[in-house]
Amino acid sequence: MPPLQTLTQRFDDRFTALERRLGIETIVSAIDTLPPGIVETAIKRYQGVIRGNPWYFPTLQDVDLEQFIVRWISVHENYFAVAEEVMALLLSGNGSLSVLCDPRLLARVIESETMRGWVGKRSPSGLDALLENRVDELDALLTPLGPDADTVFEFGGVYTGDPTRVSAENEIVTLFTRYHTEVGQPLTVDMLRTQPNATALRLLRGFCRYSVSQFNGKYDDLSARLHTPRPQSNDMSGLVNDLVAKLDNNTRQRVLLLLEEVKALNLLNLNYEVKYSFKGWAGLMHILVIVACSDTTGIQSDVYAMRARLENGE
Amino acid sequence: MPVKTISGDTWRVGCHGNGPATGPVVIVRSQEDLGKVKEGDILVANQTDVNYTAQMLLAAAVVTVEGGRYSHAATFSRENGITCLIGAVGAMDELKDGDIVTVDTSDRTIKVESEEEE
Repeated sequence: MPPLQTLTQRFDDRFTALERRLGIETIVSAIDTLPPGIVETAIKRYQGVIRGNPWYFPTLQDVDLEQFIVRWISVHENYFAVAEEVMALLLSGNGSLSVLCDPRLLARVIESETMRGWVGKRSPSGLDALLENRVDELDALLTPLGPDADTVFEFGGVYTGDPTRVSAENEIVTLFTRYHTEVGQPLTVDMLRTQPNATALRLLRGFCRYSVSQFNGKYDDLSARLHTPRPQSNDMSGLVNDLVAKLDNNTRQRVLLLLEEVKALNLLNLNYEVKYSFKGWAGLMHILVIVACSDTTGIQSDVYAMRARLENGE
Repeated sequence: MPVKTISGDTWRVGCHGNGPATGPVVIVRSQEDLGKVKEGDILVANQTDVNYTAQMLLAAAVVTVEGGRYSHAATFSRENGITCLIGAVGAMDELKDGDIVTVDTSDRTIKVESEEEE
């Protein structure tokens, strides 16, 4: 899927530019001096906001996967840009969340979250909807294979044998194993200043929301498992192709196309969304604005009521 | 003989692993419970996310109530050869910490070998 091939590089470039502009030490210091518990509870709080509000998605619904991926990237680049804006404001306020309590900024965050949600899990045009649509069609097409259909789904719907296309969880373990070999001690801000380790940076950006304490917590949790050999992912495409070859030619062509699409959607869902969407650093920046506005207005999760109250100066 | 076997239509998806796994149940209702998980435990949760990574590697098996064949728990378990059952509706209610169970992906069952006393 062509747009997926450049996705990681595009976001890596953005992270690198952000660090060059603001300074990695400044960024991690700002995150680690946030009010206690805010980073740890951010995902849960964000999910409460996502589930507790109606979202007015554009009515356009994607069918073509390539167009959807292009849109997903574009939406998340905008999401990242809003996050950069929030980070700059946070730094200008010396870490105080009150600087984020602004109705115009909240409006930008609502707009950005609406677009993210449009391509997200709960949208009729989002990742899960597109995935379910393809899985349903595959279910029907694979019926002639009987119990072997499960094997086709299981190994044909994910990338196998490619260490760069794995779940976020697997990537975390791989990166911490590498960090353990290369550095082998807890990360400090000083280490980032003097000799930043590239693996540590990848972990901080994608999986620790730039929090050194989160990094060290995960490193500590995983340390007992970093010496244990893990199974290698074997390329199972041969087995899948052998099974699919039992289908008639037209069905086979359609099944192979659908499996490629399911793989791409799973990679987005299980890896890229974790790093670049609401569970990552950009998501943390969005929820900080909502938390700041919630604290000031006393409104728990209704983002539209928060905005109205702030605009009316109540 | 097992005390009881939890199985049936509600056990939607069996995810491949390394065969049957036996151990004590640990119910994880939120991230705060992750600290309870020790080597060889059977981790039972509604669903998992990236914060469960270390504990999934410690567990002898992973059981989740929600999710499908491509959920985070299913995919990570498949990548790492962890015994895993997905879509185990009722597991969070019917099992409790300390119950000794056998998770078998071949017949998609959880056999309760002995129950922890209340």
